[in-house]
Amino acid sequence: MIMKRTVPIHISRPQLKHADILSAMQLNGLRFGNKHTILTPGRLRSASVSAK
Amino acid sequence: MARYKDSRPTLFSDYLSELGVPHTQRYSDTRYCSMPFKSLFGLKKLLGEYGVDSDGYRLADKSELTKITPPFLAGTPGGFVIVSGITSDGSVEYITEGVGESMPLADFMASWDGTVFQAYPAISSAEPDYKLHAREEFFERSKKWVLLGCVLFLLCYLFVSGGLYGQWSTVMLTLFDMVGLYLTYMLVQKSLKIENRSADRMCGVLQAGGCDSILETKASKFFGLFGWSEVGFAYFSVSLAALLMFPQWTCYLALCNACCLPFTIWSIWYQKFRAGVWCTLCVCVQCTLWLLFFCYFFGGWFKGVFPLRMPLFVLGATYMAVLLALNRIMPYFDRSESE
Repeated sequence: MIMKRTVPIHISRPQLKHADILSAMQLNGLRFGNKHTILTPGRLRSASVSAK
Repeated sequence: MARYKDSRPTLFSDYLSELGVPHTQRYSDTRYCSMPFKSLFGLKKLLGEYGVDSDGYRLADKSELTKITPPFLAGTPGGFVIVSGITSDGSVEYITEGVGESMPLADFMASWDGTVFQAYPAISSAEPDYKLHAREEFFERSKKWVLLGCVLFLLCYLFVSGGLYGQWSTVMLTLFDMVGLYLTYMLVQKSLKIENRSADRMCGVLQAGGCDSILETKASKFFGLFGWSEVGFAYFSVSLAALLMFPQWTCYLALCNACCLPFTIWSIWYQKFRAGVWCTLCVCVQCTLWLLFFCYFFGGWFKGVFPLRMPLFVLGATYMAVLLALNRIMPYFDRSESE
């Protein structure tokens, strides 16, 4: 369910030990698709299996 | 900048809602769809316009997902989802195309590709010119309710002034015409591939996907020119309007209804013996036509049909004019190519 908040929530930066911050170029490589497919748990699982 | 016309919210407006950033769906979705870089980089720039800082991460150790405060975007081979929460019982709640889903954390980690996009809204973060856009959106939404109010008022006024409340048959005729109009409206939406959850739920009653299957067949078109859904919508809309505005012509409405009955038999026969699938909405329309017939018959409305007079031909011409007008404007609403 989408939460109907009216005030911005405060989010602190995570303290990650094994993560890289993505550069502008890397961010630009992560594209949005045009499809409007609802990614149900089943579809997520099969998409990851197909990707492997 | 072309306005985003789809009523479905995008990933961007859903994410802004989760973040609590004041925004209007119309402006935000238009900006999202017209991003020059349709990527996380473009999203970062766009969020910057809203006063929201953001970063993308690639996690080498997926178990660190639980250290990230929701909401955030998570990348998967199927696309991005908005993770809205990680529960204490080890489930990940996420949003995809406006729909909330949930799956076990372990399964989610297996599906997730390790990329995360996190936004950090400030207390002052908001859509540019938010108050102006909010006012515009309010008036835009009000138009629909004002229209509905006017239609309801007219309906009630005509129902009372025409004396339709005085006889059980005319009360039921009004009711069944409205039901038939709603059913054919849903059928028209389905034929135009316009999403309607009520229609999808109704269609699943007799047979899942039956409505879509029938609407794809050649038999769903009358002589290949008009969709039966258009014919039905024209029939019920004109019948309802004529009943309300010209109750003295009810006998001719009865005659027109009787002429529709052979179609109901053909429709049921076709679904059972030729197509082999049942279209729930279609079956409901056939039932409504028969219920109307019984109201006309037992209300005594077939008396006075003969001799045929000019109002009958006016009624016939109105049915045809509305059908042709509908047929002309329907292609402008067809979403099947844009899917």
